[in-house]
Amino acid sequence: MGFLSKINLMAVIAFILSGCSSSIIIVNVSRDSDPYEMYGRIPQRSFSVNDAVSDSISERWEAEINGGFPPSSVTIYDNFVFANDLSGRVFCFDINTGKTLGQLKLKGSVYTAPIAEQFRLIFALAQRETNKSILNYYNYTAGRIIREITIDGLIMTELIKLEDGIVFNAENGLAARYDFSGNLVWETKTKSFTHSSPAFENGFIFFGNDDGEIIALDGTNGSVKYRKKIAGPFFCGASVSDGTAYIGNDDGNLYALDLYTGNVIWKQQTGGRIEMVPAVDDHDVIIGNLKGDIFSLNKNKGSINWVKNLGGVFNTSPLVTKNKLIIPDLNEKIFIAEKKTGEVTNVYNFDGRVKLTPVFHKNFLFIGYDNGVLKAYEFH
Amino acid sequence: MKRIILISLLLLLCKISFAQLYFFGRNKVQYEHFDWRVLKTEHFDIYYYNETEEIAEIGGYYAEDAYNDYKVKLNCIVTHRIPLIFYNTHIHFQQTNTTPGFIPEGVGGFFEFIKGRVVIPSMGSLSDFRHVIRHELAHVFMTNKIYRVLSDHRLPSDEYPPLWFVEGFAEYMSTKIDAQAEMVLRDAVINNYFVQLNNISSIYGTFLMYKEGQCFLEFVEEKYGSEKVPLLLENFWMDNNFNKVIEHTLGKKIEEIDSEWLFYLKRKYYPLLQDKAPLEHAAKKITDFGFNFSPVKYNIDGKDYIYFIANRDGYSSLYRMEYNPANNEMPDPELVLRGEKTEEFESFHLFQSSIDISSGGLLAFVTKSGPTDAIHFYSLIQKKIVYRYQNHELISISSPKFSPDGDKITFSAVDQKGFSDIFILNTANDSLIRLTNDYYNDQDPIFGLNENQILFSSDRTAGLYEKIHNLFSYDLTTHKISYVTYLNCNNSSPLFSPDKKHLFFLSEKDKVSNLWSLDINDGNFSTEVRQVTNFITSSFNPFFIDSTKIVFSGFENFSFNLYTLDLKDTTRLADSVTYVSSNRPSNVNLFKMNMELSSGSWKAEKLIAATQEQNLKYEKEYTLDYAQSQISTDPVFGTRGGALFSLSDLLGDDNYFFLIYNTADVQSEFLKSFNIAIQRINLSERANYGYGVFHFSGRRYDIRESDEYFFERSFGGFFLLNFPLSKFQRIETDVSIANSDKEVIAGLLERKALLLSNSISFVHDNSLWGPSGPLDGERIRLLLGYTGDIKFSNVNYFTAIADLRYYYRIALSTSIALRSAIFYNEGKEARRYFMGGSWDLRGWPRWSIRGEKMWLSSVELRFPLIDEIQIRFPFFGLGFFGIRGAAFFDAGGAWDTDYTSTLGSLGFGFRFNLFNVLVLRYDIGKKIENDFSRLQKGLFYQFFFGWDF
Repeated sequence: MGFLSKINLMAVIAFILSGCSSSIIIVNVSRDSDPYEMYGRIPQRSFSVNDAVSDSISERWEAEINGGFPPSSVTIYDNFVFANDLSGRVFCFDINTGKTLGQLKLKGSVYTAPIAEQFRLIFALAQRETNKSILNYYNYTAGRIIREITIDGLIMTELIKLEDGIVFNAENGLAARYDFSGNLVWETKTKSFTHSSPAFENGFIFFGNDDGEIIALDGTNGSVKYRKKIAGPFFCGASVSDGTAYIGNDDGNLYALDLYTGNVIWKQQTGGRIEMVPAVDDHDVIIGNLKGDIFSLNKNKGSINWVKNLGGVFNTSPLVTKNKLIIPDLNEKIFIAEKKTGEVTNVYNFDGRVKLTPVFHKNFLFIGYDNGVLKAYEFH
Repeated sequence: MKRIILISLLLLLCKISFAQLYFFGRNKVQYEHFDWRVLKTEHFDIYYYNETEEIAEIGGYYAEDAYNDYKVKLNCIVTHRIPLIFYNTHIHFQQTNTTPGFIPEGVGGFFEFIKGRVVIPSMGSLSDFRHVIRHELAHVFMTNKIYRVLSDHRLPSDEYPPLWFVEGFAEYMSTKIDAQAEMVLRDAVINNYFVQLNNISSIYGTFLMYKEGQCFLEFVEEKYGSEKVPLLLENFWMDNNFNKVIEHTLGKKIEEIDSEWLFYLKRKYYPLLQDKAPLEHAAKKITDFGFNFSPVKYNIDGKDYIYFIANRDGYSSLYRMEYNPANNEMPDPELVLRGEKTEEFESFHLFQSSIDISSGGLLAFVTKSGPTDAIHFYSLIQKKIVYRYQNHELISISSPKFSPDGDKITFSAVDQKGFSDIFILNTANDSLIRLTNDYYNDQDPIFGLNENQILFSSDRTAGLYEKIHNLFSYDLTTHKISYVTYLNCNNSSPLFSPDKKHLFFLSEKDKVSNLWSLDINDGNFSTEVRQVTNFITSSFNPFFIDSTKIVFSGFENFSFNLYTLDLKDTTRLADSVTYVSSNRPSNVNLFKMNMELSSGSWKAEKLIAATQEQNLKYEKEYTLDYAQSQISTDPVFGTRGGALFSLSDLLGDDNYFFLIYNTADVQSEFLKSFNIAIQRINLSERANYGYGVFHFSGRRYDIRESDEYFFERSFGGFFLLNFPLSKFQRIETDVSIANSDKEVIAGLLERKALLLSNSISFVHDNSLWGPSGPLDGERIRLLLGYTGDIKFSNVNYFTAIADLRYYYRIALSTSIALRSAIFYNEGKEARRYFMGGSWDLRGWPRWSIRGEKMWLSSVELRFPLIDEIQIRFPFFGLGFFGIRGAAFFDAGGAWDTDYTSTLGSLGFGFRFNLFNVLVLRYDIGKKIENDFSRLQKGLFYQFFFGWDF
């Protein structure tokens, strides 16, 4: 066999092997007292951190996943970054180097950020052509699936991690709570199309639906606390802070509602469809719409602190830091803006649509964009 | 042009030689020199030319507005710049090279996938322009959205929803149900040809399909919510079957949704039967089929005739029919002038223009004549065209109307800027007066109550009913424009009653186009408008044939026919006319217009380039159109491979083709066995040209020479020039020089030559095609050529070809086809022609008859055999459409020096068009053998593919 033929043969073997990487994540994990366990960081989904950052970032590493990102985020436990994609994969990266430590290749689409717990990953796979999902419990220290549960309906909204289990809703209006062993605690069928991710506080699970209703369920037994028609469809997930739920709808209104009664406290018209989950910190709620407007509102009164039109499409939540906003734009940009004034102090352009909500954790800023590119940055 | 490209590729692949494998075909003539510029907006590169800058600026605004709307509605962003190419009229649009095919008059714009180009003509109406821009951009966004959804899920991204949804979605996003759509949907539902989702493929590609798709999405919005429409795209990944995606998104079975949709439409349209009348019941139908428009009446020698334009046989033409109200029979219309066969009457613009007749018997009508429209004046007495007006500044002309004395005509025309304005032509001295000069859509002018007044329809309406078409008057002395109507619906086609006591016009007040009127008192138009007709579907082009009776065109049962109606049966026309209350529709509407609200006109929004960098001269940038490579291994020929690819600029004017492959059997022959061809074809001007170089080396098989392979190496260059005289005729020339080294007998005998070939051809083609081939018209090719070896004198011959084909229609889709052809090469080493097989001399082995000279003649009867066969299987159905029959007789002969024998065949056959891609042919017959003296024993059976000659 000639030299060139050998080279060719090796290249073919390498190509085949690279396409057949195994479906496993197995790592040694240490207890993490400050993990980023779920989309929005906490069950209330605040998207805020109490760190002050600069407006300048530099790339630390880049990694790639297989499919495209949904409007979700990474989750982090110990030194491991977990990312999901729409081709049915969950990836585990080293937080310091971006090296791929393992991946799970499963059938379906993983719309939800995997819940990362001490040794468990919990995520859902929406199945094509069946209108069912698989709720997957995976032990990533042992590298094996603990449990697979078939759920009626497509899980396309984000899971919530509670102290003793998880809560989620599905596209067909099903809401359910499972414990960490995969046992059903309760399920409730709301029988309305639902594309709104739930938020949780003080035993209340809150979300909206396509019929323009808001629904609150009792977290302990799934009973309906209230269900109220508000206005147009809610494709926006909810966030909760201090007994107030924040949710936007297709009419362009952002609502603040009493979590415990469902009464509207205030509403603010933004002028464009809202798809992103509102980001909330101690004083303000940040909301963007598909017209490219970003608003900072007083979280108690709904009054506008400032509003900017940045021209793009805001459909995934921004990151709120102590002094800055990191605003992902589907128009291939990340804006870094002053939290107090909205003044854009820096813009970073990408070669794809920014899809993930930025996550700042353990001094890294994680940004994901088209074609499954995940980048880690450090603030200067 | 497609044809010249095909010819060039043929030349590259088959070497330079004459053959009978040439092409006919019509020409896409580049009458204009387009001086292209580029206006850069935030998301678009807008290509415009010459005087169309203002249209480009307005279109740029519409495009950016649509972009901002769609990004919100679809939660989607197109991140690349979108090329938008604007033309000022449909006539210029038809000259585009961004697509190789011909663009029919009904196409208002298109989005093509290869370069992502959106190509749109403005055509004079800004609201239509905006609609088409939004329609095509809806395609852009939808394509982008679906691609993203599928690629994010790592699914094959070449999947696409069915066409009814694609076009319905674009219509849904770009417009509301207008009068045209309402007319078609009402007609389809009430006359029971509405097609539901389960069978919607049966109306594939039709206007009805567009409107049904739009209607379905409006139903979804109304019944299920507007958020469901974009969700259909978001959910596209969920199933390969789009019906399943609909089911999932709406949460019901498709049969249930389908049933709900039909119920929704029936509930909407069946009540119309309560107080509106179908055309056929309320008026007298005087034509029985086809697309018949714009009737006018004239009396010749005591007989009344109705002249009209129509498409009744595939060509739009001018017809006349005798009109006798006492006769209940529908007389057969008589052809007056045939359209679409000559440059002079290239198209009658059936849906766009109307005709008029003067008191002196002059008929004025518009056709496309070469580069622009022309107004023709046809004398009904002399039966010939007596005057013709064509002005190259006025590209598209519509609806000429005579002044009462017949000396002048007024008409609307779209100029080089793309504006539709009103003009008056004095036919006595050819002097032209332009009345309006702005971007409002001014149309349907008529002379008013006196010679100083012109009435017309325009979308210049301002205020409450902004951009609605109302009727206006133009005072020729003061040049003042005043409102005649002020209604919240489109109004057009003003027409005076013969006594000038009433002004009639078409109004879309009740959602379709019906006849309305207002009274005229002391030279003033009343502010009260009254509904005259109350048809379920629309009426067009009304014309008074006596004091109370009109003839008009109307749409019903998916065809446009002519009707007559006595207005005294429908409404109060005048005090002297008896009102027949029993026939009057019960809901005749009367409206008082609030003319105090009418004033001024609206201003169009524009995007004006702020810097010079945003408005640049067009520079060609070449991008890949297609590329294909191939590697093959053969036990005889070994391994060989190559690639073919082409590049063109954004406007498709300049095309480069590259061919490279290698035929080496052994390594030492690798370099000299490269086959390379490079050519450029330029289509930007009327005279298309191409040139290129080539090097071919390897074993060849030329059926004209022998039945064996031989080695040949040739290299050289060529030049092609093609000048279209009109859409139907062209001159083709080509010159080539090629150095040829040919092994006549391997290892023993070689032939070297430096071949110089040149030819000139005249080509004529105005044929009309049916499912399997031409049915009407003529096709002619006359060719003269000379090929000589200018170095060794080894080759030296001339060529003459005459190929004449005539198609005579004896019924709508039955015709007799005649072909006579002679091919003549004379000289040293002249090439041979060949025939035999399904394409020419049927029954004889394919290409078995060869000679330097050849003649061929055929007669064929082509007729429809089976319209449709449907086979229903348990889980699917199969349909076969348009199976045709043929009875044929062929004769011919081929020889080198002395004529040998005449051969022939006769028989019959079947033709089946497969997806409009190819025609399958099966012939049964007998050969005529032995110098045309006996029929073969038994029958021949021949199966092949290909179009009829």
